[in-house]
Amino acid sequence: MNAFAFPIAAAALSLAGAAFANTAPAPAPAGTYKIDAVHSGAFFEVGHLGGVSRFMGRFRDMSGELVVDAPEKTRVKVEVKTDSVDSNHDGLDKHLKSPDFFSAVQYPTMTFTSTGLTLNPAGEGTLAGNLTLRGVTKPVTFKLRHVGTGKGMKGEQRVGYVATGTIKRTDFGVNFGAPNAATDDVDLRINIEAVKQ
Amino acid sequence: MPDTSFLIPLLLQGVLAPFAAAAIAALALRRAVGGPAATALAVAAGFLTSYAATVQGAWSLSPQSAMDWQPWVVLAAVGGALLVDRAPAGVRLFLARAVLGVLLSFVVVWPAIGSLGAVKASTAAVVAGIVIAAAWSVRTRGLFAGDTHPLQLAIIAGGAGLAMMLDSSQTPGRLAGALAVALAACAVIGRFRTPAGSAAVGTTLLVLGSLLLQAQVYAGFPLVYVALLAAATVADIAPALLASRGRSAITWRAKAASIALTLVPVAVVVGLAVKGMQDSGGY
Repeated sequence: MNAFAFPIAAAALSLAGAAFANTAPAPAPAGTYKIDAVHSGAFFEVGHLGGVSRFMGRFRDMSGELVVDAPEKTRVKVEVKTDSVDSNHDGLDKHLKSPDFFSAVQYPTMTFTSTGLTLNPAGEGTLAGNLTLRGVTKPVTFKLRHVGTGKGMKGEQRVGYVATGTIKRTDFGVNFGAPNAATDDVDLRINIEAVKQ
Repeated sequence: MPDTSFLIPLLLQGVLAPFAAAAIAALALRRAVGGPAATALAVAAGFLTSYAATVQGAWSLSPQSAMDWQPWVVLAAVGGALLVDRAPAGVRLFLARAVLGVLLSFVVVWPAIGSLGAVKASTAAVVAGIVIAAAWSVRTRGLFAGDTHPLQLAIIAGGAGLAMMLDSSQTPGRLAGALAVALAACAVIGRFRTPAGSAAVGTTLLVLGSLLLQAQVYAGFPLVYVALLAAATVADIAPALLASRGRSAITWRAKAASIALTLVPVAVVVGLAVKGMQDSGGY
């Protein structure tokens, strides 16, 4: 390393550190927010054939509400239409909607209702709550990241979060093909953009 | 070496288990309760054995889904079939069968009432129950030469199972396949000479009807497939009528025609299901 290299590298790291520190989003203004279905999504990922590869799908129809307040008063409710499952394959979608998986006729919605939230100044924390799928309600905890806060095209206040977590599908009675066809562990990712009401 | 981790459980759960259970039940019960009742009970035993092996969390005491209700539907089907056949022949017998068919169909559609609404769900149950009762009554009116052979019902159940599996109703499809295997076991035990008998015909139609109703209501199994399979149950009516008019010389032809006519709609359904799967790209 030559004589100038160390100070230059230190300066670069310092700048990078400053830039990283600036990524912590501005706190979301308190209030009630409605999920913007167009810019939000609920995704799931499983190991195919017991873990040969990762297979991903999504739900196209999602709605819900966030009440942003002090952490102990903040509430999140998300509702997903199971009939909107989209694996990018019509035949597989039909099977996923059947009683072998989501049983969309009998259980048209999957819901998450928060029971507790933590969020540090860097915008990272946890979101605990109850997930109801196929009529079975179980507590789950997601890792939560506050992505950003800002104004939309019409000046409306918007806020974005990402929640990620893992559930066991057999806990919810989704037993078909577990674990040989698709793993029992299902990774969930919920991207939320919500508009202040 | 090919991966057999999928195939071996399928063979054990869907073929060996129902065959063994049905065969043992048919042998054990033949003398105790008589042939016709033994066949009905053996079909139910074979089916329930496969259900217990195939469906995880089976035999729920608080059934939530139509599949949870399935073992209770089977028990009610075989018990009901044995019971209603004591009714005097004619309209009262048909009505008793229709009431049983509607009740069991209603159990299947009950969990879907929230989505379908009471009117649509009830209509589906009533139509399914009446179609089952009609097929059951036609098949057991003595029109068919040598009565209904278990293998003839096995062809319909097997074809229905294959079509349901190809059309994304995997669990009902596998169970319909197990029903076919149980019927085949009864045919083997009866040395291919013993007819199914009214109670076994009724049990088979009630159980197969409940599986098709599940696939249709909960997984969109096409109605045209259901209609063709329903037609298959009585597709051999014409040669049966000819045979029943005393043309004993053509009885063997009538039997051959009977099986061929049963096969045609079943083959059409399987062909349509294969085409549907190919059109959607398979997976």
